[in-house]
Parts: sequence; C-alpha cells; structure tokens
Amino acid sequence: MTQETKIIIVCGSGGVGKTTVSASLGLRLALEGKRVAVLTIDPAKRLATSLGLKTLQNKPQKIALENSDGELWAMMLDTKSTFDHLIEKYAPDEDAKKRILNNKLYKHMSGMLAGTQEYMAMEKLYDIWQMHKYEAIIIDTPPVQNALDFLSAPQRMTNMIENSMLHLLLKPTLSVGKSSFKLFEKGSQQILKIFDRITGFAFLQDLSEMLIAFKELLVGFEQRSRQVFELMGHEETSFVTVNTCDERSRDECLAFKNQLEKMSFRLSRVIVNRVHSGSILSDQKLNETAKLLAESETPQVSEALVNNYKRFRPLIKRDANQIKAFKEDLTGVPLSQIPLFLTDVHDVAGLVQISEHLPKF
Amino acid sequence: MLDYPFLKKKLIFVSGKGGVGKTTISLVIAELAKAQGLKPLLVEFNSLGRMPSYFDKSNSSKNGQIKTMAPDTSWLNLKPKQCFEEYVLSHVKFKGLYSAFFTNKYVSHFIEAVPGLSPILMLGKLFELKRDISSDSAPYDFIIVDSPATGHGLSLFEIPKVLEAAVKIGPLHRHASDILNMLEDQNETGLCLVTLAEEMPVVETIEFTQALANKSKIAIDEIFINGVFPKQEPIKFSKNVYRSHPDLAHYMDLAINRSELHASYVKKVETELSAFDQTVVPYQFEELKKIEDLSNLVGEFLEAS
Repeated sequence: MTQETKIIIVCGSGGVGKTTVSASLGLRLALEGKRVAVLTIDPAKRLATSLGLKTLQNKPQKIALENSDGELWAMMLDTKSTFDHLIEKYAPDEDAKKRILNNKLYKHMSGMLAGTQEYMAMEKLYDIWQMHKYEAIIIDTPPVQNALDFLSAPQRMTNMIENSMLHLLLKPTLSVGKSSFKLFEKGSQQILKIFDRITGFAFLQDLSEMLIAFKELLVGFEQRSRQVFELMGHEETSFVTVNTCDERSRDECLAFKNQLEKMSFRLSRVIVNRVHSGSILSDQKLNETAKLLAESETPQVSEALVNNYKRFRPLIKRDANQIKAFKEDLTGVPLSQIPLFLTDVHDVAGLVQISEHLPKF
Repeated sequence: MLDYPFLKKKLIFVSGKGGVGKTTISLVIAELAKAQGLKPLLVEFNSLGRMPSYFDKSNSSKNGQIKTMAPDTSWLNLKPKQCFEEYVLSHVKFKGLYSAFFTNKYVSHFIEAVPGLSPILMLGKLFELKRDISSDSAPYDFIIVDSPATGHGLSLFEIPKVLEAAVKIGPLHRHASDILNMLEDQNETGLCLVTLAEEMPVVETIEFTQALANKSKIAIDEIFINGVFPKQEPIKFSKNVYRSHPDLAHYMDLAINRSELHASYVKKVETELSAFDQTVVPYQFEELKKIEDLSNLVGEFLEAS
C-alpha cells in the first residue's frame, strides 16, 4: 500500500443515524475500489442482516459486494466488553492484574466506569489501523448524550487514575512528583476525617486500593492515549458529524467543532440526516396544481394530495431554514444533506441510496 | 379527573434514549399536573438546561437554586459538582476547610473517579427535594425528572443497589439504601418511559424493561409512544403525479409509509409491553418551542381522559 490509511471518525449524539451513515460511507468507499473496514458500535440488529451477515462480530467480517474491486469489512465493538479487557491488556504482570480484578470495589463497579466505551472504541481503531491492512477505516462512535464526551475519553481515563486526590492522601509515600499535589499532603488528616464522615473508612480503603492498582496500568494507558491522540490529529484523519435538522443538534455541532479546533483536530464535514427535502410551494401554486391534477385524478385524490403536502410544508420550510443556519454557523465546513427516506434502511440497496448523498472523501 | 397513576405520585422519572422527546413529555406531564391542581417541579440532570426557553426564561440559576418558570411551575438544573458541594457541606461544619482543599479541578476529577458517585449525588438531592414536599416549605408538590442516559451500561435506577452492595457499611451505604427505598416506593415514585414508533427505540425500550425487571422494583407507570404519525389510508394516484408534481407524490408516499410503519410499531409495543399502561402521542407537524405550543397536545390528553 502506498497511501496512508484514511480514517473517518463519525460523531454525533444518539439516535441520529450514525451507524447507518457510517455503513454507507464505508460502502461508498468500497464501491470506489478501496479496501475498507467499518467499525460500528451500537447497530440495530437489522444492520447486520442488511449487510448480509448473520451477526456482527468483534473481528472484521467481509461483506459480499457485486461488481466491485474494493472490499468492505464490518465489525462491531463489543459493547458489553468491560474494563476487564483493558486490565488484561495493560497490567504489567499477573499480580497487578489479580489485584484489580479481585478488588471488592472494582468487582461491583467496573460496569459503571465512565468513558469505557468511548475509550475502547479508540483503542480498537488504533488496533485496526496498526494492522495496516485497510485503505480506509470508518469508525462509528458510541451514542453518547453529548458528542464531546467522545473526544475527552482518553484524557478522562488518565485523569481518573492520575489526578484523583484520594490515593495520594491515603498513601502519601506514593510519589507523583507534581508540585501542585504537595498542597494536599499537609491537610491529609483533616481531609480523611471529612471523607470518613461521608463515605466511611472501609470504602475509602477499597477505593484507594483500586486506584493504586489502576495506577500500575497508567503507563500503558498513557502511552496508548498519546498514540490515539496523535492518530486523531493525523492528516488522513477526518471527523464527521451526523446531525438532525434542529437547533439543538446544530448547537451541539458547533460546540463539537469548537472543541475539535481547541484540540487542533478538524471537522471535515457535517452530515444532516433525515431532511424533509423538496420545493416549498405557495398556496397559489397549489391551487393551480389542484386544477392540473383534476385532469388525471379524482377530486378526492387531488384534495388529499394537496392537503397532505400542506401539512408537511412547515417541515420542509423549517428544515430548509435549519440547513441555512447550519451553513451559517459552520462556515467553512462542507455540508451534506440526506433526505428522509420512505423506508428504514434494511439492505445494501438502501445503504447505496444514502451513499449517493455523501461526498467523495 | 385524569386517570394516570403517575399523577398520584410525588416523584416521576421520564426516561428514554436520546432524541425520543423526553423533554416534551416532561413538559406535557407538568401541564397535566397543573390541571390537577398540583405544583410541578421540573428537574434536569446535568444538562445544558433546555426547559426554561419554553417559558421564555433564561437557564442561568444562582448556585443551583429552584427557579420559577410560571405560576406553580418551577425548574431546577442539577449539577454533580453542586450536589457534591452541598452534600459535603452538610457533613462538614466549616466552609473554609472545604474551599481550601476542594479546588474545582480536583472535585470534578474526584466525582469522575468514583464510579456511580455523580448519579448517586443527584439522586440524593432528589431525595431531599422530595422530603421537602412534606415539610410544606417547598413551592412544589410534584417532581418530574427529565432523566439522562448514564453513558454506561447501568441505568440510573440500578446504581443505588450496586453501590449499596459495594459499600457494605457507613454513611454512603445508608445513603444508597435511602435512595433505593425512595426509588422502589411504588406509591410515591414512578417511571415513565418514552419511545418513538421506530425500530431501535422500541427494541431498546423492550430490552430496558426486561433488564430492569431483574434489578429494580421501580414502578413503570406509563409508556409514551411519541411522534406517532396519523393514520393515512393508502391512496392510488397515477404515475403522472410523480412526473409533474413530484413533491406531492413523494410526501403522500411518505405519509402512507410512516402511517403504516408507526402503526406496526405501536402494535409491537402493545403486544410486547402489554404489562404496562401505554399512551400514543401524535406526531407534531408544528414546532414546539414554547409552553403555549403544547396546549393542543395537552388538550388532547385532557379530552381523552
């Protein structure tokens, strides 16, 4: 392979159609002759069947494509996979691994550790990229409430382990070498009293042991975090958002773009999904249309057609205004619109239909 | 007299995946509550604060105070950090000690570091808010919580039990137990689920109720099926319409299609979630931006009762 792998990270809040759009992007690139991997996070069960697969698995499966030199591989990030996987990967030795896995607090609460899904999505992206097997990788991101959560995942993980005050207070011998933490060592006893009143000491012990055990993983996490961060800032990496045609989605998109820029990343395209497209016909025009329709349809049918259009008209207008507002808010970022289709996408033909509204990358 | 069981309670959670219309439904429930002579408090959870704009009010609030939106309607945006500070202050006598050591950066990291702490703190605040109802000092007597997704596998309602088990003794255990009792009090607390008449939200709602059944005794009072397209009988029209008036043809096909699709998912909900009360909420063609825009919708609910 002479080209660098293109990476497209598809972001957006839950319920906007990210997974379908990700699959369509992948399909489009494959039909252009590339070898593509699509990593999905939270697909409808139907997506697997629409791609001709029984289920999506944790490793890439090839999808049958007709008349194409390219290849499309699809896989699903195992959303049920837990923190255990990260521990397996980064524990420096068996003892360290056992310490965390057996920690009382960890056993109960590993399912609640925030940012895991997002972090593991990025991990998976890195793993696949490292294989240097694909010309393009599309990554669908977890359906978070706020798309920004995805960006901060690697950093939040290391923050959680590194900056939590508690393990520093309880084991002041554990040196971190950061001057700002020395402030805390002096007040340790008082702080402990406060925490004892709130959580009870036994809990603090367990938490402290868990965090200390995590600290052993820190080196591995940090290194991978940095690599992932670099990959996100790579020239061949683009961020794409999928949005719906409303103000809230637009505000989120703008906030996301600003955050990306702060991190020196690029939002390369905004995709607005489920748009009520079409012309806005005036009442006068509709009256004329009704007369023309009367030549081929019954009066009831003509009336039904016109009245039905009329009730959708505010939506067409609203969506057109929203698209305008999107373009104004996000000057300089190219925008694609995907119209609201008649049926949900449930086969490759449907994905092809969507992909026709997507640009070349 | 409206017959909804959730209107007889004190604390209602409105839950569902992103984009299904939880905020709209929460606001409708508030209006229904007012029609019953109740005084609702609308609570948002660590959100950007979207509700005040419906009342033409700003979403700024001083130190997380309850803000009046309209006569007998109030609003509160709960933030984890604020809840944490209040909780610590209620256990510590000197504010000075707190501010010396709990700088912004470390508090937010700490809140993130302890799994489940953020939702528990917010549930704890709800516990207090509910308790205040009986003391007569509160300007509200009915709490509606627009519940967010938690961002990880566990739902909000499963966390207190997990924490109770993880922390065997001490104040945090007792706190978790109090919260658990509050959630599982079927007379005073209820859960309303919101879904759309589409595949993913319906499948996820069904899975959610199944998963919750094993883990929590919270009463599921209502399932709102939102955005249901009105019935459109299939209409036959000639190919000429597609050619000469494509927009009319397209939108008629869309109407027929949506009507069918939504009807099939409403049926699926009726069949698979028959154990729960359900309400179909019709699709809104007009944008709902202000509380007045909801009056038609609220009117339909009042008429239906």
